[in-house]
Amino acid sequence: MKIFSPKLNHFDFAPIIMLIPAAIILLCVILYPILNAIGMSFQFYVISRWKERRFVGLENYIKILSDDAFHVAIVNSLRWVFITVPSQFLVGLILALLLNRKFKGRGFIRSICMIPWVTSGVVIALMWSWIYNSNFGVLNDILKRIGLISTNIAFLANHDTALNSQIVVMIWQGIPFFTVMLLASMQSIPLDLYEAANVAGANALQKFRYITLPFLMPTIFITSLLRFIWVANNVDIIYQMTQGGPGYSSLTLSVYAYMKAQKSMDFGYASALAVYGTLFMSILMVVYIRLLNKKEQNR
Amino acid sequence: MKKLFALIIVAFLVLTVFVGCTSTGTTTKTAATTKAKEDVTLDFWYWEDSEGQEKNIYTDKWVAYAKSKGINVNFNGMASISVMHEKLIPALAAKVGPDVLGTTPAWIPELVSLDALKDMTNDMKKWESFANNDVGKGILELCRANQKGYYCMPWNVVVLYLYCRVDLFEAAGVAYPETMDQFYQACKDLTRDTNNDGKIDQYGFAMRGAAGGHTSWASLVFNADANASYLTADGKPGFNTQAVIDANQKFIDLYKNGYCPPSSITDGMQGIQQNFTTGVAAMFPHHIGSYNTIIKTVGEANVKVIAMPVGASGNRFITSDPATISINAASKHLEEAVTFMEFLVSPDIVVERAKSLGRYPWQESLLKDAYWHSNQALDVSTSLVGQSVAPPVIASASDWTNNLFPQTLQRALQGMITSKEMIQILADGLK
Repeated sequence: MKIFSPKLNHFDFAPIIMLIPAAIILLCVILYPILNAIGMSFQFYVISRWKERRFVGLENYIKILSDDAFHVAIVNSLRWVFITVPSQFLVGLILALLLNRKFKGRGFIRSICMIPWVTSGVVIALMWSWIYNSNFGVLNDILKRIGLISTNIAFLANHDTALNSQIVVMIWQGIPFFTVMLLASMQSIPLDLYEAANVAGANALQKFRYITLPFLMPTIFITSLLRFIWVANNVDIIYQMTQGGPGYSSLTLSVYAYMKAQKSMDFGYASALAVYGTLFMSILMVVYIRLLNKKEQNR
Repeated sequence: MKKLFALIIVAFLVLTVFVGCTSTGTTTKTAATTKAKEDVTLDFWYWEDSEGQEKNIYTDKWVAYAKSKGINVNFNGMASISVMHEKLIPALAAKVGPDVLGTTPAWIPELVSLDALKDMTNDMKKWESFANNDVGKGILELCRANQKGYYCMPWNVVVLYLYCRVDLFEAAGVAYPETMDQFYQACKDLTRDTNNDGKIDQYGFAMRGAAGGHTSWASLVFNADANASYLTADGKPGFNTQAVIDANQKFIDLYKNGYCPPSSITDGMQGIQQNFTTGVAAMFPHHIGSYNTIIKTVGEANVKVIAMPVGASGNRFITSDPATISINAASKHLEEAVTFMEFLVSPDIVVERAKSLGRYPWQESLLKDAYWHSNQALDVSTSLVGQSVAPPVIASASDWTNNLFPQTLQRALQGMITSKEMIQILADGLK
């Protein structure tokens, strides 16, 4: 329906008016909380000291810059995102390629591949906490039996291994998302292209590089972007497993903001942390999108 | 015409969105008011330390008691004290939440600053145990929590002591420690390779590095200085002394020297209890609330309960974990809430609850009963309860115990900060 309709010769408000209820709901559910949080970031606002609530300008933002936990959280967040998402993508792509072939039981395998994705974050965290348990965990038991280690490793209690152990959990959880999206995209690739490639004598790698990958690029772009955002904002895995510990060794920006709000009840400081996190992610996303656009233009 | 019809429908939808957002409260209020005249239902929040047993103690007795008074109670047990605190603060800040709530004196300044609690000074005066001088002045001062009036009634207390595995001590030929030097030596001697495969599989002490570990830490560190306390009489941190710093270094060295399981740095209550019951650790700190579970798992003959060791000061520092009952100032049924609270703190119910769940009553007359010496855990607790010290009672206490303390201890155990820096950070957090 055209808004400007030459036949009727007047501005057609109907589509805009139809969208008003949805817009109102979006404003209330998304825009208002965001503006409220930004407003809180300029205040001293500790719930248990609400009578002392007052405007403090940039005080929270300045305090954060000298906060050791914040510095560690930034570095951890970068590791968390830039190891997790590419790993999820690579394993997801390999699985998608395998599941794109015809074999017996493919439907069943496709279904069980979804299990990590459909399981709730809390259950995953509890399950993997037991797998990593330094006294009775199955991982220590397997590693000892195959001779890779001689003494148990306290995966979640060691500052060198705590974050990496949780990265493995996050990778495991997110693989099915990439698998499903890439598989769906693969199935829309015209088969005659592969037939033509066979006739031209292309090998598997060449078919993947010149046919499969270009067709998958839009899907890869959008799924990676979504996963970067979701992984960066993820709180439940780390919060349930280590709460950012030991010390700050597995603390990410999202977990830090959550703990400041929920446990310390310091909503002003937590909101400022969240604003920093949003700015940080926005910059990364803009750079990512621009790099990809550049690549597209060069092709 | 069609456009006009579409516009009317859209306007109607927009209107219903706004009406829907505003009408709910009124409807609920009306229903509640009507309901209040016929029947009153109270919400009672508490933290569940005893595997869901809490509400079973009251239910039959309460139903019989309340029937005549037309009061029903929803018993809402939270998973732990820290979970309860997380849910309670936002609820009370929003002027909703339970009618009656389990509290601890450390929360009172915070909750009073939210204007969330009913002043119970007059109710306290009507309480028979108060009128009969059956509750120690120290306990009443604790309940006053540095406020002008009373915002909670004492409910029960538990006192920290040390569990020891009899079989592990006997196998290592180690005596139960009376002093801190003996304790450190015992930790070292009990850390052994029990199956001769060249690897340590048993440790001396199950340290609690996660939230909640501040009580056992204080018990093993503050005893180095006779004047050490969480806070002095004028409200300043009372543990930033060289003696405490040195004792804290020895505490940190327990982990660094490998006398604690590697998981200790992030172990909570479940972790340390598991380490003890499975024989991974020979000692672990807790209180009478876990006694029944421990002896059921390990066998009473294999458990020895001892008091926290005497420090270099010549004294023990015994920490306690008091629980109190408060009433939400925003409750719509204050009278009924007071009635229910009086039931909870009545001597019969306090005793029944204490016996069933492993707690201690506050009332001195109740402690004279021979029951409170009838097993080793009760005997040790009874002997220590009079000298026990509760955690600090200031507005930032919850943040200090749940966040600052575990993070700071973990950083010290990893060598990221020194003992002196750790004590300074913790002291600054209590200012």
